[in-house]
Amino acid sequence: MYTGGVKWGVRGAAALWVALALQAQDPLIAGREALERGDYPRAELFYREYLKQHPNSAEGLSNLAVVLARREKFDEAVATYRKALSADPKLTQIYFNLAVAYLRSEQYGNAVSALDQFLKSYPADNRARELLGICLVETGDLRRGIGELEKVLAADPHDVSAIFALAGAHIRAGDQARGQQLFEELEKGNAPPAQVHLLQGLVYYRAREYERAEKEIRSVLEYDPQSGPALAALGRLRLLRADEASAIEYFEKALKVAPQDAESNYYLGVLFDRKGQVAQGREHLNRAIALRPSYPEAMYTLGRIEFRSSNFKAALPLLERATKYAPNEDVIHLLLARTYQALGQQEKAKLEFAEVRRIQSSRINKAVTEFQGEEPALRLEPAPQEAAPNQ
Amino acid sequence: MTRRVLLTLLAAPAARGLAQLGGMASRGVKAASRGKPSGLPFHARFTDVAEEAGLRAKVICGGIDKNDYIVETMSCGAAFLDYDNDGWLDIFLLSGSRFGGAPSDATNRLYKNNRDGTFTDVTEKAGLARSGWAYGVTVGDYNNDGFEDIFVTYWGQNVLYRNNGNGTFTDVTRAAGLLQERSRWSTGCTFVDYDRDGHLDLFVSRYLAFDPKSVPRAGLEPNCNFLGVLVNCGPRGLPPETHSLYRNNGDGTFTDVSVPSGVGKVKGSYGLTAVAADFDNDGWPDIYVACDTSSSLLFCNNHDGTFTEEGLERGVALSEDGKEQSGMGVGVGDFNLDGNLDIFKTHFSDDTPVLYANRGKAGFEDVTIRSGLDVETRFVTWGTGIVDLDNDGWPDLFVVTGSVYPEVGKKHPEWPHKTPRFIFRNLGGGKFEELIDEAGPGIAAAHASRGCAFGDFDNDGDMDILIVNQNEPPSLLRNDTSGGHHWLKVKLAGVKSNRSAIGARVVARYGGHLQAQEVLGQSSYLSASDSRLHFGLGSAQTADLEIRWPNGGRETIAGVHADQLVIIREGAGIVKTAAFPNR
Repeated sequence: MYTGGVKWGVRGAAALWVALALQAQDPLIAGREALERGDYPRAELFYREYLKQHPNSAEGLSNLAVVLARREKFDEAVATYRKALSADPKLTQIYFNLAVAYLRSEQYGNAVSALDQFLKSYPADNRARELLGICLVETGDLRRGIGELEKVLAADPHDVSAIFALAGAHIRAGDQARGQQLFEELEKGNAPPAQVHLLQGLVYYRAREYERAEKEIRSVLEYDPQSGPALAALGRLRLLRADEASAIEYFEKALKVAPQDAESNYYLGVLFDRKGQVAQGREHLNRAIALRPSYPEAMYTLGRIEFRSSNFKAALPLLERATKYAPNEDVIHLLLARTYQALGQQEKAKLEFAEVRRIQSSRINKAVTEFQGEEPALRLEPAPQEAAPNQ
Repeated sequence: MTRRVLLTLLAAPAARGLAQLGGMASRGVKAASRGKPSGLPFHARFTDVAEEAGLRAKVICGGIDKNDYIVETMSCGAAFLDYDNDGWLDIFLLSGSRFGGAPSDATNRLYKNNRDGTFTDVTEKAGLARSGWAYGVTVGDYNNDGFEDIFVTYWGQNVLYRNNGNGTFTDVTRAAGLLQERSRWSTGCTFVDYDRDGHLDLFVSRYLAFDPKSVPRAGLEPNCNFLGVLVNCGPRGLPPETHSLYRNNGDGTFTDVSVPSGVGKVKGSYGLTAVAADFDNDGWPDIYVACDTSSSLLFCNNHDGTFTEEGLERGVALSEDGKEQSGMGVGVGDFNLDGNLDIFKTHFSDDTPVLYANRGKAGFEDVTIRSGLDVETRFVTWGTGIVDLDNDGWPDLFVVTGSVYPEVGKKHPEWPHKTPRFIFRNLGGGKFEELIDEAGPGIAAAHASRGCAFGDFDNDGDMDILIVNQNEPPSLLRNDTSGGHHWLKVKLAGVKSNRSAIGARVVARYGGHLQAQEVLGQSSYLSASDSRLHFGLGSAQTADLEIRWPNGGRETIAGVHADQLVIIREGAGIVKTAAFPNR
């Protein structure tokens, strides 16, 4: 597109479109419309524009936070939800969303705090209580987690996900018998046996009881020898046991049953690359990306293959896309930085290295916050004079 | 599966996929299979002579069977130094403490070399007795009076000991301006003349902000566990610290320049061993810090009193696959004989050590796997060095090991607390092979070791090793070489440059090879080694030496005969030689 002799690329045209759109419409409404149709990047732009004029709008902040969470920018989503709550502490329903954002970024302790706040205002919300139970289990507070999940089940004895979560909690607490009993209740409740065994297998998998997980998953195959999820799960289990040959076998079987399985293609890509069968690895990874265009793991792995082969120009678009879908994965930003370095694009490399540092710092801060329940002392205010022992 | 059931699996978000075994290195690294042994004889054999040498006092740090806090697990370094300038290496061993009460004789110790294979404890006489949680040591002549001084880091206050030149030391920390505003956990330290003004400055790295009142003891926090056993907490979850740089004012005092230099602005790292060396070959010392569970740091000297941290950019911060590692110890040397200083870093178990080959101004390349170093992942590794142990002209890699959780070893015999040392002998061509039993009983012996220092304590022309063992006496591994290989030791004395010549680089050319080494203030794990640079020469009987002094001056000395120590004074060439007995 040409304007006054100046050539506009595609990006320039898009920016112009947005600028015009922003002028034409209330950005809060436009943002809502974009969010509803799933156009998250535009929704984000509209909400940010709105907040320039109304920086303390709780509605604007909370909606922006929703968009950020949908785009998996969880750190920023958390910060924005908290700003929304500061702007309007009465918006207690936001605590639920905040909790989910914390949960998605594995800050289970903070998710618990947010859910506790939410449940003060909405004590009958079983969905929130179930999440609370799950997060408590993840923080290691199994007793309280089980207690919350039991409450959910008491309110709805047929709640499959609650039964599943409670069974998992009991297994993690070492009470295999109770966990097993709950799964039997699922079966009695006419849940398909293959699905029950599959769920059991996943529970044991997450509890790192891999032998039991494998036993349950194999049971699935007795009911349904063509179960794609079971075959793929066995592939992952074999991979965890470093039995790569067997893992390849299961993933290939899974693909025969379900050729559109992006994950099995991805794992096969990884495994073939490890074996030095790079061409096959590439093929599977390309297929995984074709099946799931937002698959950052596959893009990263393929990008890494290209980088290792010094095909930096081929690696670049893969890694750039991967960072869009997994913006908080420092390993991707690092490899992208190295690719920019190799291509002589030092300024872009610098930005990516800075992003790596930011993510790493954020991760350390999160760990400190989770552990200590407060903002970390990275500012290192002088502490009271204390002598160490023996001094 | 219903959407609600899927919701319960949300605790495994998409991002976690990247940390799984799907194509990215996780910390659960499996060892590669070993190739066939080379069958080549290794002409060095190590025997622990600590007992007969008189090194019988235990180095105390933490509990015997369990440790309540992380501060008890990291333990300390050691130093070889010649504090009385008699040409024989003395030993300075640090010591830690123990919650609930350390033994009354837990102290740092200075051992004077009696020149007959034995040492005498002169700690009290020297004024170096001190109990506390000591970690790292650096040795250097900060006041250029011709006597080596000692700086020790602590969980608490660090200490600068001025060597009085008469066998005694004085604690001059306060007078030197090195008292910290509060107690902190300092670990790595190195003297370094970062501004090339002829006075040794001081860099201190720190680990984390530790307060036992706010950290749960082992057993009280379910998230602090290893292999299902409840253990002490950290470092992750505890606040990391920042690092400091102190400029030597030339009058016995130092000024804290951490912030203006840029060093103090770097946050979010759990710093351990610090090594100052010219990694980018521009004549100015840089500083590399091994960091635990965080990116290791490379402070590049900007030549104007400031540093820029470029660990990521130069490729020495992370593993090959971009993962943070538990960096503990650092060896610096020229393993591939290309004239550049390479870095070898040790890590936690289920991970390989890493070898970064220095490609000059282009940065570093991780050559761990192609060098054959990925065959060993069983041990937690600490003190290390790039040192020619058999004098064949190719520097080898030495590593000490030891777990951090004695309580885990009891429940999991596959994870013992005490584990052997190992050597990666250099086969040339960028390849190494691991030796344990083949290198003698001193290598195969199992201990929970931490720091180690390299030096020729018996002046017989090969490199011996002093090792800190937690809650045991140290090991003193006497090296007995055979095979008739030649060697050369170079001792440098600065005149315009700092007297210790820390930061001086020597490139030796011998038998068609060239090898670079620098005089370092700290390396290995929190330790200081013999400041005499040791070159194995293989079959070559002479070497040409190029010296680049810390202030930038250069000298060349051709045709130096092998099998001797040469002392070179800045601007004066070789001023003294000493022929050692050769085996």
